[in-house]
Amino acid sequence: MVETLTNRGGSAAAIQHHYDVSNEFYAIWLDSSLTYSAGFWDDPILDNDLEQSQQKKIDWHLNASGATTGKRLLDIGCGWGALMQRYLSLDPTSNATGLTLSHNQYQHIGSLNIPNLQVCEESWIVHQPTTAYDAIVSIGAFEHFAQPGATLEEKVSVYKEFFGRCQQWLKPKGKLSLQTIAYGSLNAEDKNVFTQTEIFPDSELPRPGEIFLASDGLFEIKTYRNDRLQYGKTCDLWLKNLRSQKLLIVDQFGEELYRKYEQYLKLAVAGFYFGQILLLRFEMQSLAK
Amino acid sequence: MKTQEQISKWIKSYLADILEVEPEKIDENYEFERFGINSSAAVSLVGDLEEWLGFELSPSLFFEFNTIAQVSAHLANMVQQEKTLQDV
Repeated sequence: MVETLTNRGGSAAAIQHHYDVSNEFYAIWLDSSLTYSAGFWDDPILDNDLEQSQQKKIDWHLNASGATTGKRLLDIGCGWGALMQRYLSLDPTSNATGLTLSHNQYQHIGSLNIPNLQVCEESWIVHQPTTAYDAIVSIGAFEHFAQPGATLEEKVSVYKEFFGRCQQWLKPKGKLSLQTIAYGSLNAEDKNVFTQTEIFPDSELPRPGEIFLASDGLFEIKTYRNDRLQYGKTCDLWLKNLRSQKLLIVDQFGEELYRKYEQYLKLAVAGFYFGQILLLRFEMQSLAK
Repeated sequence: MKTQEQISKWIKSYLADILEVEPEKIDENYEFERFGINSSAAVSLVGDLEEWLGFELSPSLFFEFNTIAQVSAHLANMVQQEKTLQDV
């Protein structure tokens, strides 16, 4: 497999295929903060409050990364900027930088004109900060770092490069909070063709062990959680929202897009509930002195 | 209006078809995991059930309710609720 400089660590075309469908489309069925990743529940009985679960998720990562006690935050794969907005609302004198490969997300965040918030339309591969960060958060980006068909060695190599960069950009003992989907009982060769080609082309999930292997010697894993049922619940709530707005979505975006996302969310709900895919959350601390 | 018994029979027949066994061999108190159902099969099963029952269901159905007996009881309640809504 030949990796180009442009797709190593996440292909812009692959990201834009999914996330640049339309900001308005996502606004219909995500929560009001446009947070497009698993919510967080601290109670084992998962209620139907999507909005609150997303705020709790953001706060979990701000605390786990140490962002709440620092002044400079990097958000790798920042989505529509909800986590950075929350961070700056807690302390407007802090500074947040977000990286995204989605042009729509980049434009959306730029249009918010929030002081002390920078957004860069670039991959972490080319990011070159001039000042160290106090904390790094990365939610739902790691899934796009490796290419389909990559060997274990190739995957671990790119993940190791990611952890190396994070360590280099953090102040000594700085923390990284990472959230990613991972393979559970599903193997790469058995993954769903529909999801692979229609929804997330050119992306490959990690296995939990690959993350441990790649971060070994660079970060201490202080917390490791598998919250797959929480992502199953989140997708189930998104599916309910999508279905409740079917007429509007079909009218504005067409039947095909509606069907595609309905099928994708159905498969995701079942995948997480059955344990074929996992949702991992890591609190990691740099081992650099 | 579909009854719990009819729903149970439909699911048994569906699973028997997939597993290539006689419907009588399907015990409605076995946990779904024992049938070796994966997420794609569960999504297909839920989709076909939706079509048969005439209303939408969550793909988490076979996770939240572990056996055919439990799912059938739950769905029979939903059928009743749907009917009440239609009658209003």
